[in-house]
Amino acid sequence: MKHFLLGFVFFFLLYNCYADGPGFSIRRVGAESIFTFKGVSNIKNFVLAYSHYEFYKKDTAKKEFYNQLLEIIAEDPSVIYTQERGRHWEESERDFYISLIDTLHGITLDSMKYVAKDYNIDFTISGVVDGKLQYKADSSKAVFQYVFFKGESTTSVYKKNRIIFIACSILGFLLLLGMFLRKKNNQTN
Amino acid sequence: MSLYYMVLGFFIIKGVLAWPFYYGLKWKALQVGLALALFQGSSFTMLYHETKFDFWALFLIAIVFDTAVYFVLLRRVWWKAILLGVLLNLIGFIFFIILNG
Repeated sequence: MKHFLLGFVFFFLLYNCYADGPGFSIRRVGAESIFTFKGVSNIKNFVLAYSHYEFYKKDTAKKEFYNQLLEIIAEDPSVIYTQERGRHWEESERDFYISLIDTLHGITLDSMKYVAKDYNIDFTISGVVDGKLQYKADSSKAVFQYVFFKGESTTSVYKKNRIIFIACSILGFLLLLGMFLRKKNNQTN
Repeated sequence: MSLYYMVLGFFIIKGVLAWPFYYGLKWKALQVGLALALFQGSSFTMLYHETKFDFWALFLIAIVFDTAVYFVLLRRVWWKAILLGVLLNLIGFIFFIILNG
C-alpha cells in the first residue's frame, strides 16, 4: 500500500509537470507544419493565394499590429512550411488562410482558414465551381524534424531520425539497467 | 540540435568531467557517462520539442536520477554523487538550452 501511494504521488507529480509546465517553454521550437498543394494547374482564370498573419511588433498582443502577408501559390505541386519557432504569444502566426482570387476583376471569391499547428495538410484541388474552390484536405500529424548530423536535410528522413532518437534513449536506459543488474548480481554472489 | 552533438556534449559533461572523481574505477565512469548521455540526450530533446514538460522539474528529476546513478553504479560516497549530480546537470542544462533554445 505504501509503495502504491508513493507510485501514485510520483506519477501524479509527473503528470502535473507535463500538464502545466511553464519551465523553459517560452522559446521551445515545435513541429513544423507542412502544406502541400496538388492540382493547382486545374484552376483556370483564378489565382490561389496563401496568407498568414505575422506580428508587426513582437512585444504586444494587440491585434492592430497584425500584418498580413500574401503569397501566390503558382507551382504544381507547391509545398509551404510554416514557421518552426513559436513563442506562446505568437501562436496566431500559425493561422493560415487560402484565398481564391479572380485575376480579371481583382476580387477574392473564396477563402478558407486553417490553424496550422501540429498537423500537415495535403490539399488536392480539383477546380472551381460557381466561385467556390473544390478541394480535398487530408491531415496528418506533424513530426518534429530531428537531425542526426548538423546540416542534414530532413525533408524525407525525419520519421527515421525520430526512431533513431527513441532507439538511442532506450539503448541508454537498457545500458544503465544492465549495469545496475550486473552490480546487484555481483553483490549477492 | 543534432543528436550527434547532443550525445557527445552530454558524454563529455556527464562522463569525462565525472571521471577524475572516480579515477580509481578506471573506465567505469565513462561507461556510465555514455549510457546517461544516450538516455538523456535523446529523451530530453524529444521532451523539449514534443511536450510541454516543465524543465525546472526535469532539472530536479535529473539531479536526483544522476545522483542515484553515480551513488549506486560507481562509488557509495554521498558527497561526490550529490556534488556531481548538481554541478554536471547545471552545466548539462545550460549546454542543452544554449543549443536547443
